[in-house]
Amino acid sequence: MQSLKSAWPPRPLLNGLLATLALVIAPHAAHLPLWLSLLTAAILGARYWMARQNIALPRKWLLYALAVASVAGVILQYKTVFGREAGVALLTLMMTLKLLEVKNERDVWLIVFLGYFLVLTHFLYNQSLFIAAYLIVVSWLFTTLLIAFSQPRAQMPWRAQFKLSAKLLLQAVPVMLILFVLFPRISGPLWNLPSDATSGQTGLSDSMAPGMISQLAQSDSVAFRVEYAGKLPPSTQRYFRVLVLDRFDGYAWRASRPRPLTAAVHGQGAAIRYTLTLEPHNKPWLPVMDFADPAALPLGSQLNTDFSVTQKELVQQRKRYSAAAYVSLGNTLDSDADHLSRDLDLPPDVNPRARELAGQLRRSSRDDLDFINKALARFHNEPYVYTLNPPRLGSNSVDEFLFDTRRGFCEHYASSFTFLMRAGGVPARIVTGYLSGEYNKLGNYLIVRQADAHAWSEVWLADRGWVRVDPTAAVAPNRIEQGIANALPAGEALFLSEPSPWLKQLKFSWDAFNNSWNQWVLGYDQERQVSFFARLGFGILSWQDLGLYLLIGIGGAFGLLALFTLRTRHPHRGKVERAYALFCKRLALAGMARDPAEGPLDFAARVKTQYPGQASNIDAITRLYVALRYGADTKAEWVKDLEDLVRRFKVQKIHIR
Amino acid sequence: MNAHTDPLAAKLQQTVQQAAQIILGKEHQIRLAITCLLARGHLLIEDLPGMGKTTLAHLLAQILGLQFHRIQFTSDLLPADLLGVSVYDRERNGFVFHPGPIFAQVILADEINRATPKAQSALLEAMEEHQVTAEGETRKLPEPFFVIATQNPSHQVGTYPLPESQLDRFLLRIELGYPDRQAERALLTGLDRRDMLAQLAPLLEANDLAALQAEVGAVHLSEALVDYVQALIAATRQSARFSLGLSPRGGISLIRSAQAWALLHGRRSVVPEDIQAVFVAVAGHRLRPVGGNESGSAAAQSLLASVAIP
Repeated sequence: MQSLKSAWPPRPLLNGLLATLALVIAPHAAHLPLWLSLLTAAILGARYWMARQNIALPRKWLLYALAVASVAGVILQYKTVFGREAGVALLTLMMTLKLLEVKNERDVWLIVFLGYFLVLTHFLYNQSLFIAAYLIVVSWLFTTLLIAFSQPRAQMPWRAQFKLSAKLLLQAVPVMLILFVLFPRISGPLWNLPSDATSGQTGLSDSMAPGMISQLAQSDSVAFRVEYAGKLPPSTQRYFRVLVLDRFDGYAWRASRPRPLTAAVHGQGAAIRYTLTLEPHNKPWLPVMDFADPAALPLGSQLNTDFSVTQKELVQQRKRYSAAAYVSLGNTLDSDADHLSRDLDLPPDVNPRARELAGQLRRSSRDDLDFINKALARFHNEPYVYTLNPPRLGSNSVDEFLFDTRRGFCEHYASSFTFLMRAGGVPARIVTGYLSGEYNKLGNYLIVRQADAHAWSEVWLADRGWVRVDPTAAVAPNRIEQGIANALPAGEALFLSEPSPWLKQLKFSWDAFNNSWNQWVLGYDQERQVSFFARLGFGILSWQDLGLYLLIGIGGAFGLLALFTLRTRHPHRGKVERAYALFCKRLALAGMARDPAEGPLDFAARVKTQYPGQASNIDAITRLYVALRYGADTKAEWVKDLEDLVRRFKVQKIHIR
Repeated sequence: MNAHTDPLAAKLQQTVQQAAQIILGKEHQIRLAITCLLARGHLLIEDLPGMGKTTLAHLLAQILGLQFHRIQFTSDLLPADLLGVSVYDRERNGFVFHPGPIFAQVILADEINRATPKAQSALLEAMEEHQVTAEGETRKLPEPFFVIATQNPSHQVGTYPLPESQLDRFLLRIELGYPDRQAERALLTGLDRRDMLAQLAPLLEANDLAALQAEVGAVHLSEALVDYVQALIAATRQSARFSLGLSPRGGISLIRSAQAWALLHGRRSVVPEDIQAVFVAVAGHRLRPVGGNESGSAAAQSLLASVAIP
């Protein structure tokens, strides 16, 4: 008995468990601290080694010490045991430590169920199609392990176990779909990810120093995707405004607090309608195409005086909204005229050479417009280079860039141009956002990546209001017309430089696929749920209605499943079986149920003691049934006899005194 | 049902009744023993000393009119003691084979697990082949050849438990158990059982038995019952309670025993009750429950209650 115990769990099963645990932990290695990943791997390896060498499991005190040390390590690392990061770390560690004290099946169940839970935690980090597929496979493995451990000495081959667990998972699919479609989506804190879930995302920030956007340009992560209701506007019109930076401290540009726009705005021409799906960026602003139509703003957002759009909450989940844009605005935007003086502010004493240049240009210009054109002409005519890797700049950044290095990215041009304008007495400010993006023909939408981040300027002309001026266009017109990959000088490869057309095609189809996953699976929120059911003709459903339908749906699914199972168990129930089943049912209703393992003769004997008056009938029915079902040669008319006898068979309910 | 129409079957019923008067309160076990004989199997009786194992064996031989030998197995028993030896005969000027006690129709191998494995295997070979090979010559054993082995519960001292492969040679294993109060009273106050045995006249002749044995295979087994047998076998293999399931030979034994049981009860076709009646005796010694706290018979009994009759 002792030897049997030490050999438990059987080696192949244990190896399967270890491998599956390694698979479920592996994706977490990307964000767990290195020591923790290594420790986990070491425990898994040690457990394998111990089983192989038949080494006894560690003693209790050692396990306690390990557990305490792990908790201490997690606390030292994260300063807490709560939250996503610390919670996952603790769960991973404790689950692997449990392997060192596996004594019976109960311990294995615990580990496997923790494993299922760990599967779930991956979705706190990543909800992509790939990880979903991966985790389905892992769940399949866990289910197979449950089956295997339930019959440790069974002869059932592995293939059959895999098949059985696949069958179990497939049987759960209808219930999963019903839950997914019908489970009430309530926007509230319950559904939000932990607060630390959205840290570490790249995106624009509320200030701009030289080098910040060029750094962003290295990232190919998607910022947002846009579907246009009509034709795709030309790339020169696809300016997506995020923030307006109007305060300059000599080095970086910063945004003022946004104020809601109150004045009426009239667009020129037809509005361009589009739907934008924004990736979470943990900031309150919503990118909109210039210039946002105040009549078609995203739900719950506000249009500010600087024409940026913000909402109250941070965007922590993928957000989908519809909006509209006018290519140009009709009236002058004088609502913010009080603040124009601020758009001339410059810190004193910085960039003296640039101030001098501005003065020169100003003196030689007829008016503001001429001044703007002269400044742009300087960028165009002088040997300025558009590059991703500009040299570092010192305290007089504008001076150094304009006169010495002459190599810069869009933020350098926007920054120095705006500086020149302000120094020359023209109110000016910087706008950051995204430009043009990449069109996916397969999915018919525009992908805008962090690499498409851009900065441009706006100047105030007394008779026209704010006018967009993009100094980058004067240096590298390709940037605006063909996208960033084509604007960089040769040899300066962006990650996106496409090596071959088919790879590009593949990338597009993958992104299109991923996009529909985002839209229809991850983006299935309250709004989509309501519209989905409205389109099916259910009207607007409250969450109570949804809950009711949910119960009905799941009940129905289980009912169908039960019906199916019961039917397949008796595939060919003939007349004989039906007649006898009716006989048994009558007796069961009277209080004498036949046990499924009770033979007909035994049953008859038991029934006869209760109903001596019916003995001859019971005997006749039983004799016919046994002869028909188990006998060698049967006559067809016996079936009729049996049916008649059963039909006439009636019993009184037993009264228990 | 056409019960008791067959004169042979009627004789069998009588036999059972006769036997039940001598061994009181053990009618089910007597029926199983006769079933085993009809199915051309061998019987293993496992119980404590003094429960009537020997009397049962003796009784069967007597009322069936068969030649009977009893062999007491001890730890120093040698195969030659069982099979026989050749002794030099001076008159004939040659070796003459003196057959051992195994040359009989009914053998009572008493306390088989007291003998060494060597002697055990000599017996088991004879059981399987119905012939013995001694000193290079193969000799056929008489027909019918029926071994009743008795075994002390294996936890008793000085026993060599039979391995699974050898247990499998026995078609049925039965336990006698203590008689109930009423039967015991009759035993205590009545005549000596051995005297009663001696007065019994055989009811069956050797030909009758051979005819009945030939009939066993002809008892009808419907598809529904094959399903039931398969369900029972599958349950022993899939259940986590058993470390060893029923072998295909176990399945065949189950069917043969059920057919013999049906014949003994005057039926020409098997009913589920027949299978249930013999299942514990067939499967009890072939199954090994996990853990060892539960006997194979008890586990088989509860398994029977968990499998539905199709």
